[in-house]
Amino acid sequence: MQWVASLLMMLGTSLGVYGAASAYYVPIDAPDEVILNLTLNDDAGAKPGDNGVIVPVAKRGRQLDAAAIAELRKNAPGMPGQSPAWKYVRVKEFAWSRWPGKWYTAAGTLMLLGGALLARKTRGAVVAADDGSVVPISAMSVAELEADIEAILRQSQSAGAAKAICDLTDAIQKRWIKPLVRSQPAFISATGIGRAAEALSSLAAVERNLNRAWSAAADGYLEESIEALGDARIYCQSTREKLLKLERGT
Amino acid sequence: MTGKRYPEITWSSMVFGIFVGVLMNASMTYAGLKIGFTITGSAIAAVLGFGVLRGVLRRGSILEVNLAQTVASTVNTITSGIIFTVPVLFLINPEQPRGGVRLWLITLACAAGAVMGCAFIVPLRKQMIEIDRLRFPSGTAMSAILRAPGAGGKKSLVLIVAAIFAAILYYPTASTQLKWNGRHALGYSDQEWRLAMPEPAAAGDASAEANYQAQLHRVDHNRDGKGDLVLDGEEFHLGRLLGIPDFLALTLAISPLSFGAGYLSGRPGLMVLAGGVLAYWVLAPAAYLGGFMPPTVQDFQVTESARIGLTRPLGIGMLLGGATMGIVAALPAMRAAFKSIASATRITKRQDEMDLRTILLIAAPCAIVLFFAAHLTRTPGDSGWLGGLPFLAQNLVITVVGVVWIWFAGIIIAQCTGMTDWSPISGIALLTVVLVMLLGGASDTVGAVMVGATLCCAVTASADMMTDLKTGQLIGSIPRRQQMSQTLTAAIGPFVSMATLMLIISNNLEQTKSAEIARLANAPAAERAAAGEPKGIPIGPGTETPAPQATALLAVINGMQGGELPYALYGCGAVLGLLLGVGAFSGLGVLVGISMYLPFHSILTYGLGCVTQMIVAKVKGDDWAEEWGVPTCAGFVIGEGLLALGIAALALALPSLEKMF
Repeated sequence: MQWVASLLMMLGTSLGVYGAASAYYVPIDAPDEVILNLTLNDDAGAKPGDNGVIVPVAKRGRQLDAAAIAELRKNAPGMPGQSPAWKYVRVKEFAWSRWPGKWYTAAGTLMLLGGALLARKTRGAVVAADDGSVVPISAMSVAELEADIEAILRQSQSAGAAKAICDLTDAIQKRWIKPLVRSQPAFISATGIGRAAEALSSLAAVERNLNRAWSAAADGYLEESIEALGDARIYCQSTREKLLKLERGT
Repeated sequence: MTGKRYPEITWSSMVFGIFVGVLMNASMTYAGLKIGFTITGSAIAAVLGFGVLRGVLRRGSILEVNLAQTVASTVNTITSGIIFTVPVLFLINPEQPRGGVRLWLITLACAAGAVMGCAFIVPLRKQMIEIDRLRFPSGTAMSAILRAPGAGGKKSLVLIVAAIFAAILYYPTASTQLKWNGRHALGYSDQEWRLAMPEPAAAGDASAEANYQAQLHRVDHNRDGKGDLVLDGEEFHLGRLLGIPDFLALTLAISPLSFGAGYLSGRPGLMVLAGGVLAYWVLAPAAYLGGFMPPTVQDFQVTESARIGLTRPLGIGMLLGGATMGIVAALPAMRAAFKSIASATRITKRQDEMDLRTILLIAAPCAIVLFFAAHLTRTPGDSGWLGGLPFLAQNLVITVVGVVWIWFAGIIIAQCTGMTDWSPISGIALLTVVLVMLLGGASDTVGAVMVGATLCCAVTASADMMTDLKTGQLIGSIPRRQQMSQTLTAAIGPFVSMATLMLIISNNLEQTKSAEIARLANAPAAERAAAGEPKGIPIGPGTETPAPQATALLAVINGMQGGELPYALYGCGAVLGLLLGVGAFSGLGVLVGISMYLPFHSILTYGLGCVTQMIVAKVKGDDWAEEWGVPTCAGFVIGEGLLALGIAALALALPSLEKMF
């Protein structure tokens, strides 16, 4: 169903935009009472000027009186590079009754609405069916992430700890953070953004503190790096508690 | 370095950031007035930070350099707020007093706006960066630059090589700004890569002559007797080369920065390309072939004509509608973020976020400054929607609307920057000016420009703050420290920009006055008498700084006064943008809107970057695409950015050097 939704949205937008674009245009062959006394908001018509240069018949800002309309209708296009089928003039005034593409826009809007609602309905299914490079956000996966951080903390007192912290936090990023982030849309879809927000924000704090541990280790500030790893672990615990609450439905 | 405090906010990072920011601000003010756009300076400041803080001063941690670039970009980025709006006052009234109280009140309002923009966006960090995980391509690139020395030699090398490559590729697009003795440096156009001219038809053969004329039109649009350029300024006209009709624009911007931003955006950025295709390969040709465009618009002018008259207003409407839907969809996340900031509960011993009380304490005085600036700069009048109210009440309403609008527009711009790296500031400034003129009357140009300038400064500060916070997230900065340093220094930028603008105006007046005196010296006496005493031109057409964005804004103001604004297009765009956001992805309206708003050649290059990322990820895997693609694209961003700044600074210095030698 997702492709039907996308198709409807694409067609709806195209149709809507096409119709909307004509909002300020009036056909040059419209009845006189419709076109008379309107003000041009773009040049209109074309005729050869001096030295073969094409010049407009009526300039922007001119009011369309009977003489101007007659002159515009008389001058048909037909020069190289010109619009092949010039039919409309652009005016300043807008009127629903004059709008040539109003039904295109109305139809496009309805199609877009239908497509959008369909896309919304099928969103969860599509996200959940994403490829296998994701780790679902759950209390269990965060507990495993926490265990990995604890393992780094245990190694942080050994020689060459700074280099080890950089390597191990890089590994955690690849093993946990990126795959967890990839599953975020599915998690939001299943939980609702309001309920998911707190847990996701807490998980982001884990990531930020891991990044801080990496930066401090790369700069040679081992104590700061260890402190940041400690903070990452605390945020892991907090995330896990929030996820457990969500999983229990409390 | 056991036991030593990890340096983050330090005197050296703050002073260095302000110093670099002021230099970049002055250069960008000039460049923006000359060529119409500015670049954010985060990447440049980051590289300079490494060079100076780490290389020369032998200090500077990753986070300290990040703080320096955060401050530098804050001081610099606000430039656009001033240069897109304030020159309008001089375009309307060339005798506008320079350095008058009114102008400095506007500057004060801009400074207040910039601080307010920083404060207002703070509560949205959690929603945009932690929950929505917007990509902020420049912010991501910055983190790659900052991490490069610690990430290993190979990645640093990749970044440097990419930066050099980008600079070489970009140089000929910008080099023509460098002039010496009336001659400019060679650029791509000077390569004279042209389409071949057709053979003339034999005399007397009518059909061969018609065929020749048709072919001639395809290769020589401006009828200068030479084939059209394939490489023209910053554009590569691939469509011309392939013989594709000119109303179907197939032109790429020669911009490694746009390509890099596209790569860093990845698959989500593809929606921008889709929107561009809809605007320029569907709507523009349909309008042309359907007979909507005046016959004076020739096929090679279709894209630009459609952009100005149709797709841009629709795009602005879509941005508004899309952003509204984005805000509605994000309300639960925003509520959670506000709740967490308001409760100020600390999970660890550090306070991560600026608290709500501080935000209000910062924003309230700024709103008061805005009110007084409005009250003292606006002209009392009884037209507009607020015409029936006393003047004081009018200004109070305009202040309240302005503050709410700053918050709303800040979110729009931050979302756009987060998703694409582009911020449609001029479009938002345009809407602001229209809004104030509707409220205060169409004749209230000064008031409208003042609020427009304030809003521009506010939203650029918001977008810049969010980009820097994204970098901070990726390298582990404490958000509160970045938020505080940025809020404290945001007020500097408007004063630097305004001072530079006044300097440029003085210089323009002097130069144009001398030129006029020289011209009149050889003119007949009657002409001299009619011309009177030459006064000079402060800014705009006829000077070295044409101020294209301000000129465009002036056209909108004139259009507004003449009742020419396409409100129906804004409205239709808003409805479509809103509905696009109802679907699976609430930011879709914003993405399609921005693609309809921007020129297509930039979008194509950006889209090429997105497609490249998808291909690389497919072939080499997501991790490889990230690990090597990010430093490469960070190099592209920095190579073009550094060179653009260098050229702008040199262009500013060359006229003085020319006089000296």
